[in-house]
Amino acid sequence: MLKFEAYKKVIVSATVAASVALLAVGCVDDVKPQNSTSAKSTTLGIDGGTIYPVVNGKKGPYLVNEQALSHSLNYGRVPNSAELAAWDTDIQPVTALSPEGHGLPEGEGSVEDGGDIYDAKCVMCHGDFGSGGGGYPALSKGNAYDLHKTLTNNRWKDPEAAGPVRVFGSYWPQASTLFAYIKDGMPHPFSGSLTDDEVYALVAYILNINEMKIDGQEVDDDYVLTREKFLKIKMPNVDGFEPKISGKNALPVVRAYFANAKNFGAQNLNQGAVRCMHDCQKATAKIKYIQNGGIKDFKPVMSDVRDLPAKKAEKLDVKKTYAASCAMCHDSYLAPGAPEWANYTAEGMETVYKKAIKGTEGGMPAKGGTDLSDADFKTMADYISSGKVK
Amino acid sequence: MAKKELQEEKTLARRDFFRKTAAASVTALAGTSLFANESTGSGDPAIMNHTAWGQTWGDPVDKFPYGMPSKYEHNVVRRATSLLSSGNFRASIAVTPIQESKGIITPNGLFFSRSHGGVAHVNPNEFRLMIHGLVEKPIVLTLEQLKRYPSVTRTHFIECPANGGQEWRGPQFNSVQFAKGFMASAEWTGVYLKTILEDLGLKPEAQWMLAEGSDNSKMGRTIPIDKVLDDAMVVYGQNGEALRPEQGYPVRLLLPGWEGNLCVKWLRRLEFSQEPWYCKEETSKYTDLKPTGKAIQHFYANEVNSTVTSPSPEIPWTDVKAGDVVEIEGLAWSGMGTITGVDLSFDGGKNFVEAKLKGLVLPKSWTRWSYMYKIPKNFQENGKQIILASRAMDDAGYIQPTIDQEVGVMGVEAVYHRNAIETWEVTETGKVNHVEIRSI
Amino acid sequence: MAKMKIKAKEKKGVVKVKAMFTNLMADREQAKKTGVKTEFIKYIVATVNDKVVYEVTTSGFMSENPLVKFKFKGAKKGDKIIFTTIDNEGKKQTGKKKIK
Repeated sequence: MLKFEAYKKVIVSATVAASVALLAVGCVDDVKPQNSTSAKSTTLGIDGGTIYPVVNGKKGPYLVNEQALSHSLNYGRVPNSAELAAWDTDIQPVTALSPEGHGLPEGEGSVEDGGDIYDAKCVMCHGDFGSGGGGYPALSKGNAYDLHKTLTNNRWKDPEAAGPVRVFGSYWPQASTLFAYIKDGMPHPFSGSLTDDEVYALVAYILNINEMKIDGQEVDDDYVLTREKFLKIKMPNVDGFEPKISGKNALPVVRAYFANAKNFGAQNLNQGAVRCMHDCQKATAKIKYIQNGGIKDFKPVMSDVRDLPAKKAEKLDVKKTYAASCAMCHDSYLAPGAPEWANYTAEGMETVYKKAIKGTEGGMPAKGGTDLSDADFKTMADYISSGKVK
Repeated sequence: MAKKELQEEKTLARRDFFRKTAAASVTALAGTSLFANESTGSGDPAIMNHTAWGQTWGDPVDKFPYGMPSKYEHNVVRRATSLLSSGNFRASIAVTPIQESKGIITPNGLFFSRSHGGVAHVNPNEFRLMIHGLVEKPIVLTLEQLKRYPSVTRTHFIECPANGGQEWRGPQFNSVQFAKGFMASAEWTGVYLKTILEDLGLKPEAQWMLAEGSDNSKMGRTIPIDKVLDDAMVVYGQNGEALRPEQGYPVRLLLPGWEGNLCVKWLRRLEFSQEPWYCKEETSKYTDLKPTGKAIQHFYANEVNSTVTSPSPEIPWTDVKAGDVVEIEGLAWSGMGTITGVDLSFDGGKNFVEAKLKGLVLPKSWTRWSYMYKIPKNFQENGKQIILASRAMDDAGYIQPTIDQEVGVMGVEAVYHRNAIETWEVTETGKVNHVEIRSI
Repeated sequence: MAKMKIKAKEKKGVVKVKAMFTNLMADREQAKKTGVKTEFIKYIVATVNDKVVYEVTTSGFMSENPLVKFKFKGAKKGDKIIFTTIDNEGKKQTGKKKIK
């Protein structure tokens, strides 16, 4: 396939250029290691790593059946337009090659409606006014434009100092991400349940609590967000990311970025790094220990013992369990062996079990709120209905 | 002549062996510990007594149609912690007990489990994979149709780029499972995406591919076309069986060496486009903030890395003594190539010696290494406690940075892609503690 | 300085209010420990039509960016609720919101 070949050429020429530029000096100082990493003419991929083209029927160490690429296979079928429309709902932002963005639906929503939907469906995880909590991300920490300035904060020495604030308003480069994620993924127990208008309202509310502006206008309490206005949102951190990934030249830019180890904090022996074997450390280097015992709440607890698993809960003690878990209700209603039980046991014990395990409208919680096994629970039901321990 | 030489060599070898064993038994006799019980006449009960399992029927062969590990192995498990427990352990991670890992394959039940909305249980009969966008012919495939494509099988680790990401500002976990276990390795079977694309025909303006999951977080990531046409796979097999639900059953994307998050699970859709998507997990998260205030996005590969697994905080040296010779063992891996060597330090990275690689050395795969070491008195070298540090290299030329080198460029707020040299301090009693050697 | 966040909603004569204030809520001891400046709100009052509907004295015991929630009767949609806070240095801040 011609177009396919064209691609391969593009990629190979880019990577060859990179690897030629990177052939560099040796690095070993006073020892000659057996498995020396003398600069090899490796082919670099877009990630800055080695790629293994198929050579003599092998891709790296793996044998390849090259017949696989010489047949037309034509499996599957072409999806119809309804199917494509059902799944092709992703949203892309306004970019160089895409002045209208892609996929943003028509619709509108107000900050006020957004606040109400938020308090009904989101606040339990994301906190009041998006303040976060319980391990769920905060959606706002205040004014987006002010907090954007915290991104250069770095807790180098003082772990208690203020770190960078990475919330929607201060960090995210594109608002389309928020719209797409709320529409597709939120709220997690009911993903995909919000209408487009509801998503517009929630986005409006989140812009509001981040104290943001659109086209110079504050997203205040009376703001109504529309598709047209949405496309004009400019996030404070839109230029905060490297390498640039938009435009016709994106892939060469990304390849060049990762071809330079310095850009991403890496050390490369082909780019001047040294494999030091002796006397490699600065005098200032110190041992840093775990503070305050560190994190230990492992689930399950850490152990390397090879024994039999701990025995499951002790054998059921019917009287004790009754006193602890059932007496508060059953002492005054349907007490163990009470004559009223006849009205229930007449339907057969299986029915009694079933109702009690599921919970009843009369107020009995499922399994009486215990975490007993079904078998143990039935034993309890036998006791309470008959007044006798079997 | 030649035959005679060979025979002599054989004899020599045999003699050497006997001499060695004789010497060893002399030492053993000289020591008292081995025969400490002899005076009482009792022996090791594990030898002297009949065992429970040796005196009666074992299980019938059809008791477990799908076998389980020995019940004595119940502590070899994935673990989670409240620090990483969002969504009641659903938008969360459970990590692999790499201290117990053997070789370069993780059993499927121990493969680390990370999801953004819980582990989805996909009905394979309702699985569909849609491939569309800038292709000549869009298609939709059932699982059976996908499996009809010529398959490839590859051994690769998958690593969460936040492996070690809790420790940019200092060590936090006294555990190799939590410090380095956000990863696991398997033999994967699936189809190269380029094989499918040969049939569909990619349009020349396509630069990016969206991979989208069918779970409730609709995980989406943007992938550059370079990777798609190199070694990107859609996989359905893991260590000889179907993928586990935690790994995206029935089908996930596999981008060898790249962020685990990019290897989208419960896959349902691939779309090709000229511009990228800016998905949530490639903007708000999985981006590395530098001290300049700029963040690296599309940071694809997990860089060269290594750790000592034995000893480790979980497998200490409390049962070895001065003079014992032990094997120090570890893992090395790189998402950017093949491991070419591992250096080992006993003084926290001042001086290094070369360790030996063991077993299969494959691209973008876990690689085993080890070093035979004679335990010094009080676990001290030159009057200082041993601090073990390993440093791996790969065939793209990358070598693990020191903490100072890495932090010097990345600062301490990056969260992801931390691959600086890891260090264990061995105390006088042989306990092993996670420490960091740094001046920043 | 971030603004006060206020939400006030009237339903069947009852107005439900919640408000969040941007403040470190660090007393001197805490400030010293964490290296931030001493800053805490010591008084919060809310009025509607010049009538006090909520009043509270606070200190560093509340967590950063404190949140208050309360209900009251006797206001209608369109009335304005006005919050005033006074911090440890006597600095006043106000925020208002129309009841919806």
